[in-house]
Amino acid sequence: MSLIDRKKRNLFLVRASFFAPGTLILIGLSIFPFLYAVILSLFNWNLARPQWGVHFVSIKNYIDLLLTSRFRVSIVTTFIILGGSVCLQLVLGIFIALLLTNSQVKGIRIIRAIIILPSVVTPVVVGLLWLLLYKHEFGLINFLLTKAGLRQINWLTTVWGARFALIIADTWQWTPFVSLVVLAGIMSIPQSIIEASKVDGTNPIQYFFHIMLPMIKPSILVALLIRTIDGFRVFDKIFAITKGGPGGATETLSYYIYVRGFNNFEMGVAAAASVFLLVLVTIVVQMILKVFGADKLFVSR
Amino acid sequence: MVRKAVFVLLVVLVASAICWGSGKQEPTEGMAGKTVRVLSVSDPYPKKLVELIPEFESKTGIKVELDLQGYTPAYQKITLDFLNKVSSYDVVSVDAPWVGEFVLGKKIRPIDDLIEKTDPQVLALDDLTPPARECGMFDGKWYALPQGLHGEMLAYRKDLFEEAGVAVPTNAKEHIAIAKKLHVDKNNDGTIDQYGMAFNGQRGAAFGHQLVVLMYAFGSPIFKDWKKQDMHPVLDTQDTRDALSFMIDMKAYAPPDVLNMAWDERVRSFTQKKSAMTYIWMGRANAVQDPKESQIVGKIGYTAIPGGKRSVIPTGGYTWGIPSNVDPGMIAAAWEFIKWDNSPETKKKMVKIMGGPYYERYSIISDPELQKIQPELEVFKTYLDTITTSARPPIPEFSLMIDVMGSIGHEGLSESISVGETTKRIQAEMDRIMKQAGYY
Repeated sequence: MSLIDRKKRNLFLVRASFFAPGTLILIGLSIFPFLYAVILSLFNWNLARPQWGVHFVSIKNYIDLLLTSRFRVSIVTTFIILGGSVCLQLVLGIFIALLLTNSQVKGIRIIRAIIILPSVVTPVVVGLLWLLLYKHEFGLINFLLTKAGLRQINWLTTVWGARFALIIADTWQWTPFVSLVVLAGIMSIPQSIIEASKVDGTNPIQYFFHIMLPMIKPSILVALLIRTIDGFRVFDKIFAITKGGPGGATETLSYYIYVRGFNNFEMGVAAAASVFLLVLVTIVVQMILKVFGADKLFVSR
Repeated sequence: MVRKAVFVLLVVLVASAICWGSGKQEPTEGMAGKTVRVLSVSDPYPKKLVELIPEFESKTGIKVELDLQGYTPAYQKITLDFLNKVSSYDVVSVDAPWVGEFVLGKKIRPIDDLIEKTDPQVLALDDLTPPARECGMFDGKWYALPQGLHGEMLAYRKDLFEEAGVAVPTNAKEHIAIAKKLHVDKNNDGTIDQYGMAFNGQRGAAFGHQLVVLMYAFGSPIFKDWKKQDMHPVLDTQDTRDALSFMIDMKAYAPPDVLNMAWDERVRSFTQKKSAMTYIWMGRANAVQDPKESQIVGKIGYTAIPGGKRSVIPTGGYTWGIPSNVDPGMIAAAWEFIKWDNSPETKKKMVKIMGGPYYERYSIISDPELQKIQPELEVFKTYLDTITTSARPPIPEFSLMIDVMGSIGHEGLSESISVGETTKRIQAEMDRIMKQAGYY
């Protein structure tokens, strides 16, 4: 082996040693489970009925799912809860971020640190916390409503009440995260642009819509993507607060997967539904990227 | 002087060693030092059994590790644990309707061999009541022994009934009329202070179990006769529609959050004087009769669940089984634990501790001492021939059926779909499940 060949080989080994850990982690934690789920989705395997064995059923699980109204309804419910919570989080997140930019306020750094606290709480704990708040008899919210002379609300026993309750709980937890991401975007706007806009005499509304919003678009996109992907997976709060009820009003796709997988132990069907979820998330994410013109957005920056 | 002191010290040491030795019972041969790992649904019975476990430990030398889990998590754990080569548990609690699934799935082993090796006097199987035997057997073989079998009944406030001048309901019509009468705004402030009836309205297992029991009381069990292998579910019937309509009507006299109410919540609503009546699994009767937890001690009456055509007491509670993948070296110790808990002596002690009636043994039901402290045992005696597993048949598909009842049925209860549409969809889904299982 010539010296050049040896050098090339060494260079390859050095490069390989850099990308190997990442590649292995990617294969082990993402690609393998995904392929396993796809393969599993083609089999009929019920853990509660081991006596039935495992049988290849091709795409039967997918067809059965599409023919099941509960599955179709769960997709609609996912979009309702996801849409409601992500929209609310974005609007409130941007608003709070604007409030947090004012560095003149005393203790703003502490407020910025404190505001993130809900996002570090385990989602199931957030669920239990809000369940207690929503309780009809002794919930704090109804107590305050009564004190204010208003009627108590049956938060969790009406279709839209329960959906709204989940949206509020999710918004409470994740708005701070959105606001911090947006805040980072606002803080990165060059001072020269802000000063130039002042010199040009823009009013605050013009500044927000024509300068700040376009400048923080990438941050909003990042927050939107993270929250959308996460929103599709929301399970803990539903498990803790509504169990998918009343009726099937809050049974999202991820909760439906849990029921089929871990209540009924229909692993093939649950895997097929998970693949559906993955496809759905991918389509929605691609649509968001397209609407935001993500390719141009990041290149131009 | 020193010699004298040493002598006295020796005498004291020997005497205390003798006293200590005589106080401690001989451990069961070959069992000392073993640890039995028990997985149980976190029901009041195993929670209170903890108080007696030290007795078992000192008697046998076997340590007990009790893992208490919620209803669904316990079912999930047992099912997933079956995938292990060796089970993480030596004894598992089996809900009466799970037996078929666990037996056919070979998740629990038969215990006939262990019964044969045991002194019949110790087990006293003849003393078990028919429902208790039914819960532990499948296809003529023993698979489990009762852990704490009881029934679901209607609990009512005797004082409120007397005040309102109403008699104990014997059918659904009377029941709903009483609920309406006792659903009152006591201080005339425009809000109801006392609800008529609390029941399981929470989506999922809670409502699923409730609906199945009421369907049975309305004359519409899931199967006409599952014991005779008639496995065609018959659910799109007038009786099922009546049962669901009854619950929808009853919702008007229930606490406002009834659609989010499960076993604990309904009993709490009753014990905290919020509701005048509730359905209750008698295993929870101790909570109702405990002054620390209940404001209505001494004011409670029990009766069978009134339906459209009959009043029923469905079988409930759990049995103890041994996982089929248990470590073979632990079978004897696991059996020792089950044997001990199932003995008439332990049962009697448990009824005393629990303050709740259990009907698994004739000796318990007819024990005069227990009858004094447990007047409800008399009710059980009256209804013993109607206490049945038929409301919740222990077939392998039971858990799937409960999911269907608890989800589609809940759409009916929350009035998202009509009663007729609900029973039609339940029927279609049940047919799909049974066909998939290969029954027809």
